[in-house]
Amino acid sequence: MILSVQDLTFKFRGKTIFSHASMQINQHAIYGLVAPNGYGKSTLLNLLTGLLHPQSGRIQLLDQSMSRQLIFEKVAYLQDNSVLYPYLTGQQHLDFLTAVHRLDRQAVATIAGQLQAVDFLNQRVSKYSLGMKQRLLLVMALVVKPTILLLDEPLNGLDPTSLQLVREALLDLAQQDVTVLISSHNLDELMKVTQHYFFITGHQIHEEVLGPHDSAEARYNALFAPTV
Amino acid sequence: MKQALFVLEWRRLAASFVLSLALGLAVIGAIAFFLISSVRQQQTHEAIRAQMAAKQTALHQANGSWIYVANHPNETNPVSVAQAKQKVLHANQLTRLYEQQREAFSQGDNRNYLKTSLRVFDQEKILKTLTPDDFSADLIANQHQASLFRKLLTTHQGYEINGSSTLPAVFLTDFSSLLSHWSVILLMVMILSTTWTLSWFGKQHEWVMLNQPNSWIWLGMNFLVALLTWFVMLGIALSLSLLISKIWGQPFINGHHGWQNNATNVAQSLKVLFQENLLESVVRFGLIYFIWQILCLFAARIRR
Repeated sequence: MILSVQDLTFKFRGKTIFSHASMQINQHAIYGLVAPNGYGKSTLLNLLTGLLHPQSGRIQLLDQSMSRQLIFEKVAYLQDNSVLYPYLTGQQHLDFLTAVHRLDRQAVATIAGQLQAVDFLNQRVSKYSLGMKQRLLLVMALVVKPTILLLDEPLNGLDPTSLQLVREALLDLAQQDVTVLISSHNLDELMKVTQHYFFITGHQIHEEVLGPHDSAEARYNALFAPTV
Repeated sequence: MKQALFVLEWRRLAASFVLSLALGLAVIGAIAFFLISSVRQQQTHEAIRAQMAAKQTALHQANGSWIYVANHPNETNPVSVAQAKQKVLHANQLTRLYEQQREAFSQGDNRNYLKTSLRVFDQEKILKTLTPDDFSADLIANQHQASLFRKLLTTHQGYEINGSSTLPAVFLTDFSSLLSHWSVILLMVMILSTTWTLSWFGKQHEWVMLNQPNSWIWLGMNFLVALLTWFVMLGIALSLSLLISKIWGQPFINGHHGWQNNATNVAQSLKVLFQENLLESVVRFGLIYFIWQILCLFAARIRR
């Protein structure tokens, strides 16, 4: 089992986000995580990486109980761009990852090249556009060669060319025994990389595999569109 | 891991405005302290001149009444007249010494000033014994000064006063005392810990936490970087102070004043006091910085 969430309950400042929710991932593939804003997508990813702790329930990664060491070794998490240090350069962020994960500098440079991030790596992050920040975050997530890759809104702010680059990078990963869980509102783009979704509704996590003729947007509307 | 975190913390400090601000403050602090000391040197000069003038005036007034008694033997008993004559004799001697002391001070004749001052102290003691009610002199302070002045004369050193000196040894000791003061340390801790504090209360710490499993190592490396920076700041501030005081430093009266001399009103030598100040500064900085780090860490956890 790659990822298992059992009987998860989490409340934040008195508001229930998850109530006895469960999810399981048994196969390496790309999965979509879809819900409207405020339903707990980022919260779930934070719980899966130990940044938040549930009030009850059990989370296991790769058949092991969660620990900082396990997450450090096996999980990469692309968070929103507020985690970047604006006064450091992109290269300095990558240098840190290269050192702590003992990565090959050439391999890091290759991934940065694939995502066309090389040109701006030596600039301070404060000078980056939203798209540049997203590409840097993606490079930072990919370079550590994780077994589980969690991406929180990775497609935000990307232009069509960048979207294509990201899509190709994700499809490459799917061939390499990596489990990718992507939270996104860009359902069209998500449909291009996966048919396998987790929807968060009613404090629960529902797994759905869409058929070849199904649309994620239609399913989203059916689940979340306000009833008149 | 530790090395990577150390490099990250150093880069964070160097890339943010914090390091430039801290180093800028070290430079400005050294220059400002020198200017303040120069002004205080002039003020102390004036204060000593005024003190000497005040002593002369007071003696002149007291002497006036003793002269009257001495010159009118028919108005009082013979013992009092004899005593008054003796007082007048010593008062006249002291008046001359005061004058010599003022001249030596005005002419920047350090050795003569010290010698005359010693004679002034002796004369004041005699007069105070003769007339404890009419003549005022702080014999205990005189005794302390006399011991200092004798030492300065023996070692051929100039007279300097802590807090009012711009010569290297005394000035650096004074500046090191400021750099070990709690308020200065607290201010510098607040400045240098900015990158740590903002990181812990913001989201940025999450990225570091995900990429190294032990937050205590991160704290330790940040602590080392801050302590190293404080060493560098002390080095820059004191080196600059030394340079400035060597170029523009002026003796209080005249002559050199070395590290082996005692600090004013303290039994220790300037060298020992300087070393103690530096040690205190580093220990206090380390202590306050560490406590602040722990407070931030727990406050951020509670807030989340």
